[in-house]
Amino acid sequence: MGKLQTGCFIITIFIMILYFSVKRTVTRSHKLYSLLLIISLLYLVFDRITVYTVNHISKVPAAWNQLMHRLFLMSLVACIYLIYRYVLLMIYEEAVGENGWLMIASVAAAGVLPLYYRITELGNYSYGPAAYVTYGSVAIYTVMMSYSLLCHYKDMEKKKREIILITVVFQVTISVYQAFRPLSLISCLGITLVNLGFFLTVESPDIHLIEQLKEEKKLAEGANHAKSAFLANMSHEIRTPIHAVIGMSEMILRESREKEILSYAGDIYAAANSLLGIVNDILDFSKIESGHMEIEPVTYQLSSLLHDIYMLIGDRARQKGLSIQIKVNESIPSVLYGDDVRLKQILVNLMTNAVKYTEQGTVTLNVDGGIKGNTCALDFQVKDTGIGIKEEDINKLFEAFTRIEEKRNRTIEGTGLGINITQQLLLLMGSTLRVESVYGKGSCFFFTVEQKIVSGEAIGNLEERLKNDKGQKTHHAGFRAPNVCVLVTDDIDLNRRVFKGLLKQTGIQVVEAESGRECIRKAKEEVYDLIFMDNMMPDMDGIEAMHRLRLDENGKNRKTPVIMLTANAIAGAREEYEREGFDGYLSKPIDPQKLKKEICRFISSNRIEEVGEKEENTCFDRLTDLSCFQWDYAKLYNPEEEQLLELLNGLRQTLPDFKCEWRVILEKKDTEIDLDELRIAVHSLKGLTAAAGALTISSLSKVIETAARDGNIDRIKMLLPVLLEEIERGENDLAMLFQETKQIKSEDMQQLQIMVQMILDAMCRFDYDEADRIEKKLEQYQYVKPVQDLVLQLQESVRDLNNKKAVELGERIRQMMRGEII
Amino acid sequence: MKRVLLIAEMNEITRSLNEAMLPYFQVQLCVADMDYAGKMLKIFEPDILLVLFNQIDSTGIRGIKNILKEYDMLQAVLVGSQYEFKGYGFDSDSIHIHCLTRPVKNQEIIRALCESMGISYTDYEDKILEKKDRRKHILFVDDNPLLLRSMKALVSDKYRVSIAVSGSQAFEVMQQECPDLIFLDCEMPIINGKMVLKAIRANYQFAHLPVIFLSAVADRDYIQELLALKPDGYILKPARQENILAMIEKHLGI
Repeated sequence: MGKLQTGCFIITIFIMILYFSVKRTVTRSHKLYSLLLIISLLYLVFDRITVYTVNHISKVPAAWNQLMHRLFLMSLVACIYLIYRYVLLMIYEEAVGENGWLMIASVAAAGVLPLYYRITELGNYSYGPAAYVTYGSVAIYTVMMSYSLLCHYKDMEKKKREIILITVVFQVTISVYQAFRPLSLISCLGITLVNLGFFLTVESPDIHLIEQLKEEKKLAEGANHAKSAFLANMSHEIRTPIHAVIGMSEMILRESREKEILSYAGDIYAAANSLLGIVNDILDFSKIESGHMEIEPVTYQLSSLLHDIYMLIGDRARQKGLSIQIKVNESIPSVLYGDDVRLKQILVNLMTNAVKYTEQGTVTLNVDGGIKGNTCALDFQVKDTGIGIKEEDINKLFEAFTRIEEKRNRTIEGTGLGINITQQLLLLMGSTLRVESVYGKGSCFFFTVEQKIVSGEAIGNLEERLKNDKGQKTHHAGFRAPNVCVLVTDDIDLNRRVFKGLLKQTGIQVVEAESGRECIRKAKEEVYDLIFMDNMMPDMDGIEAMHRLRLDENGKNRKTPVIMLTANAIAGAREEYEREGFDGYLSKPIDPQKLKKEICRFISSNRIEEVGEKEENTCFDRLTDLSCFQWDYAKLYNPEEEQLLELLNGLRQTLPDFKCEWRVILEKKDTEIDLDELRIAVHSLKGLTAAAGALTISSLSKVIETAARDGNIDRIKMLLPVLLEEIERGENDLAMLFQETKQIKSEDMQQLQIMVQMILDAMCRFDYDEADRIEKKLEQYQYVKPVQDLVLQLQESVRDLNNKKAVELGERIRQMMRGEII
Repeated sequence: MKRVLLIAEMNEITRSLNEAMLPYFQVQLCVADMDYAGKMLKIFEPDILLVLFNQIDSTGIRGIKNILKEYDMLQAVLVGSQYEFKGYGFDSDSIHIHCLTRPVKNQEIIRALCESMGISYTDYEDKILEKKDRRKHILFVDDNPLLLRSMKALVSDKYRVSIAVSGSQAFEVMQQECPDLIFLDCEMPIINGKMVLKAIRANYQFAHLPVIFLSAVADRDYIQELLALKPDGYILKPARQENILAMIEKHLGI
């Protein structure tokens, strides 16, 4: 009779042994399932007993029968409840749907309510409220769990849900069958199958794997975070030596006169800056990854941001022969509130990319804006006529460390981080980067940011202002302040030397202190105009030293402005230093322009002399020293070289005419001289020569003009010969000037041809020393623009040891010259 | 090597002389046109001028005379007939002009050149021929021209150095003159160092040459991969002068 029950009992024991023999981590599912197994076992025991007792109802004492049966019913309810809870756990991955009250009530009912028996030929079975409540709650729980399962079936993990579904189906089928055939007594089978099914969800290797993977993922993420935090703190360590290399090479560039050394220093400077760029990219990237990147809004001027970008990108673009355009909507407010540093970083990144990947044409930055209340939505668009991006590659753009078409673009430098960083920054600003591109034609990158408006005053016509700025090169800190004395504190000798070097040409006296204590000691002895303090120092750091300076009541330098020098680029550093009481802040590597600004902030302007740049304007270097001409003066009136040369050429042609006419006047008798005509002529000469910088001629002309106006013929006759002499000297000077330039022009071409051929020959036999030697000679000559461009490219191909390109360029130069001859 | 600017008409005699001089001097040929020769002088910057009057016309010779006058500090050796010398008034007593009367053998010309430059011919010959044999030829292959130049500068005091910017260029250089040792960069575009090494080993002419890998990647697995190809050595970039020299000495047994 009870064979089925016995069989199920054995199977359940078997499952229990398998389950409990393995050490398991205590999780919710483990607890539930363990409980279920135990209760199921109890249930099966009672089931087996009651099969016997109910069918031998006459032999067994009634009380015993009742007890057993009630226990049987109670354990059934408990089992169903646990099964229900377990299924829900599988569905929701968390403890839900208590509904325990129903179970407790049913259990209570089963224990208390009346229970009767019916005796039939086929067998005896129970009925009565106890039984009905039990079966009722079984039905309810079953329905509830089936319903939940079906609702969330899609959301569940595949493996799990299949097993659970099958288990529940069996459970339902068996329950229904039992309900219609109460004598079949197969409910124990249902419970056992359920236990078996659940065992699979616990033991399934796939599910195990998934759990394991989740664990490992957590570990990996933890390690990644640790790494990012480490890198962020390394920022100081990495930047200090780079700062030294950049600073020292700048010093060499400023002080050395030897061409070779300057060329080496130039290479070092460029390489160090490039390295700094890469390090900054990596540090930014890891800062973003570890969640330390913050947007720090400040008040800024949009025009100065765009101006800086123009300066940074303009040179590089022009070198490549590209044109740069910045178009700004004139009605955009000029002063805004936002993170200008990051915004500049984004725009510089996009525009640098544009320049890098464009061979010819234009790079345009369009800035448009719409005002909404007190915020302005700025639309930025960077367009280029470059090599474009393929549709399928656009997603790759945003990935870190991946670069598109690596083979083709190998020669273009870059880490592959730029766009990724840009996108992350934009996301932090509540924006996103969008790309449109046509492969082979060009690309367009655009985004919109919202900035609060600080001043509604419109920005006006920026393009005009930018065009006029074009001629100025701002490389040297052009000022002198010889009676200013500053104290610099840094524990690293090299850093102090770099700092001193930066200020060498200004004549500012720099006193060094190598620790916080020494700084305080020196500050007690002398009054300084400014104190520069590094923060990371052993023993006493910068902040503490500054506090001590401030607290020293009788201290000479109590009120001296203290400026923080730090390589610490962690977010929030600036605010922290300002809160501590520093008057200023400079990050290393120190930008000479920023240093100048900080100094000028605190030193009264009467102690600072602005110094013009040394004659390093390469535009005007064709003008040799001529006795009659003051080029400084001429440049005031003729900022463009072309303009000046035209003027000089015109002058060269008209001077002889003046000379002839006036020689004649000298011969004439006083009464025959036409004073008006003379006056007008001299007046025009005065103007022309003044603009050309021929000041002696101009001044003489002025005196003669006055004399002509006053009718002072004696004076005229006395001064005209002197003027004529000067004019002759001027003529000679101009003749020399133009002869040189002319000579260069005509001789050039044949010589150029020879040099180009020799370079090509040398390169083809891999004699690069010879090719270099002749390439250096090319430096000494200037050619007309189209040829000069080709020559520059040829020089570059020699430096790059690119034989193929050199041969191509040589052919093009040859063609161009043939064209010229014709 | 001394530099000689050879002004002559293009003919057999000139060609044979050019060939004979190649082992001794760096020779640049030039036509007997005053303008052209003048420019050549400026570009080539020779140590000495050599003129073959053979077949040069009168304008040419006059032009040469002008050039000699202009560049009076420059040594010159002239090869012609007495008639030409006297006729055009070449001052053979002047210290910087040395006249040789035709016919004259190529070796005599070379000797005269050495004398005019104040070098002992025998010493020079020995040195040149010696240098050719003794100084080992090192080839550097790297895609970065700046780096190539700096490595060349580090080593060219003691050795003859060739540089190549890619695998294919390297092979061209090797065909021209077989090197004694090759430094090969691993990370190059299109054809990387590993492929070049395989190509070298596959070529019977060059398979025996020692090849040293240069690599900027210090990753252990990467290095194992490279070493599996069995190069003769391995240096990490940036390479220091001591390391490069030591590696060369090790493999060339100096």
